[in-house]
Amino acid sequence: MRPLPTWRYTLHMARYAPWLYLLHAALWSLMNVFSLLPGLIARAFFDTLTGAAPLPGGITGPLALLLILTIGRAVLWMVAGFVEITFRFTMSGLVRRNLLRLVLNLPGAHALPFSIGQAISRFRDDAYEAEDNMDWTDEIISNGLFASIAFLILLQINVSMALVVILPTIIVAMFAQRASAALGRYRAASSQATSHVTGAIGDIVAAVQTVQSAGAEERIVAHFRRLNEHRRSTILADRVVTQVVDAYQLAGGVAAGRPPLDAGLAAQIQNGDDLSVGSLRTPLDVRGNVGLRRIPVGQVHEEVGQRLPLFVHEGIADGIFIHTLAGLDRGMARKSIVAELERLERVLLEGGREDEEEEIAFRR
Amino acid sequence: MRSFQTLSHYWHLLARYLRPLGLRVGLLAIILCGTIAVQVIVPLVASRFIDQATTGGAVDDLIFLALLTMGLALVGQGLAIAETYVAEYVSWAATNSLRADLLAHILRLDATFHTAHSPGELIERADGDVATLARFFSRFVVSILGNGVLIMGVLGLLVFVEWRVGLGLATFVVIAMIAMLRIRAAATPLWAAERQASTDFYGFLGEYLSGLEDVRSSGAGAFVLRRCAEVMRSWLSITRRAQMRGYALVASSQGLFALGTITAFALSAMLFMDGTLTIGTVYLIFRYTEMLRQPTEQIRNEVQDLQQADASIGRIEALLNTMPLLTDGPGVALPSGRLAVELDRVSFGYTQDALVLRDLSLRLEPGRVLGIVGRTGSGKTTLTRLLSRFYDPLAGTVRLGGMDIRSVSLAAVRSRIGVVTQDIHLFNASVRDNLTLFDDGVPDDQLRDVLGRLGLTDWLHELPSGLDTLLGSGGVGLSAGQAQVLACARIFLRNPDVVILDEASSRLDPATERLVHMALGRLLDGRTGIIVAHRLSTVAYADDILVLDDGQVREYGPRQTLTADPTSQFAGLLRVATEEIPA
Repeated sequence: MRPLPTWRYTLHMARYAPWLYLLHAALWSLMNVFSLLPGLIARAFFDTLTGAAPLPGGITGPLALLLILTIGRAVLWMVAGFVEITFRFTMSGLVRRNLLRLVLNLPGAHALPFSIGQAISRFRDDAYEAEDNMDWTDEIISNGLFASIAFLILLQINVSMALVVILPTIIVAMFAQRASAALGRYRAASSQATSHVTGAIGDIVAAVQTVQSAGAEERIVAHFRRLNEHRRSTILADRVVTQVVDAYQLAGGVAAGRPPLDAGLAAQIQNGDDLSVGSLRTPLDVRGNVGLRRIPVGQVHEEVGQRLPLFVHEGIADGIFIHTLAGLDRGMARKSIVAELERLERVLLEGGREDEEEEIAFRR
Repeated sequence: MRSFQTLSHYWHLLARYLRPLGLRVGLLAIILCGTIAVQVIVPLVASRFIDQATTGGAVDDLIFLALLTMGLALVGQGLAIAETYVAEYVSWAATNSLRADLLAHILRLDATFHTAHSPGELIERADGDVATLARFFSRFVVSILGNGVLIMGVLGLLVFVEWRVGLGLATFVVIAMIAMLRIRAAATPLWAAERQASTDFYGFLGEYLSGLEDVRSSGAGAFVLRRCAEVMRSWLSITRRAQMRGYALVASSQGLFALGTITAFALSAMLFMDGTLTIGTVYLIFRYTEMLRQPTEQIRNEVQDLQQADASIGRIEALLNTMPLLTDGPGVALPSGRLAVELDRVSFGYTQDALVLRDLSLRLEPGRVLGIVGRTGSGKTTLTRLLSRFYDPLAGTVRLGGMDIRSVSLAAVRSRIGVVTQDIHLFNASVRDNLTLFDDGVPDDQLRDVLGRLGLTDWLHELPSGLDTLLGSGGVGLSAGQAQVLACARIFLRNPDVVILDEASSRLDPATERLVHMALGRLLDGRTGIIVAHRLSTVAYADDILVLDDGQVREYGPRQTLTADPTSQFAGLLRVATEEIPA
């Protein structure tokens, strides 16, 4: 039984409610754009305050804008939330209903090859995974789209700036991609260690009488402590590696220091008096006339100058790194689904042959 | 407030487990302070940068400040990694020892407790509830303590920089926190309703999945699907209402803090125009105002979640406070060698009003084997449980080697008695560990020898990694008969003086049955034995026979005598059994 690739599943599910999917994507992309605006307004505030680029109407202008924006964002947030709830529920509901139909239509006498608890977990957890998958694919796509647009704008403003922004991001993303293989091993080890601990608790609690009558209490607890210890070390490795590899934070951290550095460098170049004023324009600051005495404060703050590169960066990091990370967990979940399906098929086709084999082997 | 009571309970419980980790907890505190310091300092540097840049400071200074910002960002990253490591280390080390202590406690509790609490429930205590605490611990340190200090630091600096703005924002944070807690509290019942709705759905699913064959055969599939759609519809409407509250919560907190920013902007703009503030300070105030939102939201979330952790803490404490009903004996020594087993007018019931054994007396001489037969529920298994002192009789005395077993220590009693229970429990561990029950002191040669004597040499050779082969889930499976022989091997290794066999009632194929019988024979050889027999062939090992009926002795005597007497109950049973299974 060959599973479909994830993107085919995604497409199938999106086609069940295409308009809802598109609306969801559009609204959450709009939320992204809206998150840019407070920074822009803050910048306008500072520029007005310092007189670098005063707005007509003084500082009441940006403050009023901020108030309107606040209300607008709240409304948009509620609308996008409503769509999100409906969309997510529709997607997992679709999976659950189809799964139930499949189970109901299985041929007559065969029961499910797993316990009710496991079956419920398929309905609950796997359907949730599917829902989650649908939720973030459209966001990743729209983020990627925004990243490309932001990058194009940057490119138009200043080619070298655009390259400076994108190069470290790409390098970090490549590093993250590499590291994700190692990360996968750590993740698998830690989840295996966890299942050993959980399994051991079940084994021991069920065998209390055996343990007590053998007087093996202390040895069993020592064994349990070893399993716990193993889980601790594997999980620790997993967490730390995840954090180290987290390209988003790493590159984001460096980016936070960038605008002041850029401004500082700009100031230095300006002192050298050998560059035209136009070349000092930092991204989107098309008003020009940036002198050492009058660096627009707004620009130092994290906003368009930094937001745009961050956007590019975010889009790429999202697309590559977060995708692989999420893919790891989902991949494991899917492997288990596939394994269960194969088992189901085998049992349906061959009946209880497994048990017979065991007995025959024993008789030999 | 309830949440603070919970906090103190929680603290009480964890303090015991944190104390041995004192150094690491200290280190965590230092790292946490470091990350907070970095977060607070970065805007300070930026503010200085702006002031220098706008007032014409030296370019070298500007570059230095810019590099400092980047350096701080990198230090912040390093500290974040160190924080993760130490916090996770402390959290796992503390909760692991709590988990192990809980399990040790569960193993100390007696059979009365274990009949009242299902394995599933105990798994939930030792695994689920502890996991809740573990998750809560890491968030508690980082979210409540860390964010609390961060807010204090930011507000403190703001007061220092400009006291009017600082005090104004402090008031604002308090008001925002109270408002958000109110809104959240209003949403809580809806969230409970949502959880109930999802429980209902899975209840519905479970009901039909367990009766799947009936549903299919009666052609009710369409009906079930329609029901499913109905349940889902009501689930969606509740989910929508509950989650919309969640979105409203986020929207209102965003709105509140945006208002905070507007207020801070307006205030500092006025002060800037007065000439009281530099533009760098205005920027600093703006940044700090922005920094207040996230930690305030996180603290709000955690304070509410504390109440959910409350239930877990309560259950764990209750379990740890449960004491075994059986008291260990003062430790009178048992005589060495084979032991006589004696029940003297013993009565017992799992509850006071329903007696399972009534005034039962028997005496088994050293080295003899007693076969107990009787209908299901006649008290056979219960009798064996009294012998290894899983319960104390309500009246009468159980003696081993002439000693009242209540005067002997539990460990001594159990070390002299080997029990093969009806259900054989295997551990997900190696064959070796399953045989020795994790006793590393048993040499492999002895294990091979015992397996050989029980006829399992061929089986051992077929295992992929010999004694190291994993049994249980993910490893090699065993048939019921093999498991029984393995259980016999466990007893063999301990070499007890009394052996109790509670034979499994499941049917075995002839080859396996032969194997099991050979093992039983070897095990009983030279020991005092008690067999709860379900099969005629097993009774053949017994010297004496006890026919139990409703907790009373119906018949008791040497097997030969009872077999020879055609009027005896036992002879009657034999006749029925031979008719049933044509030998």
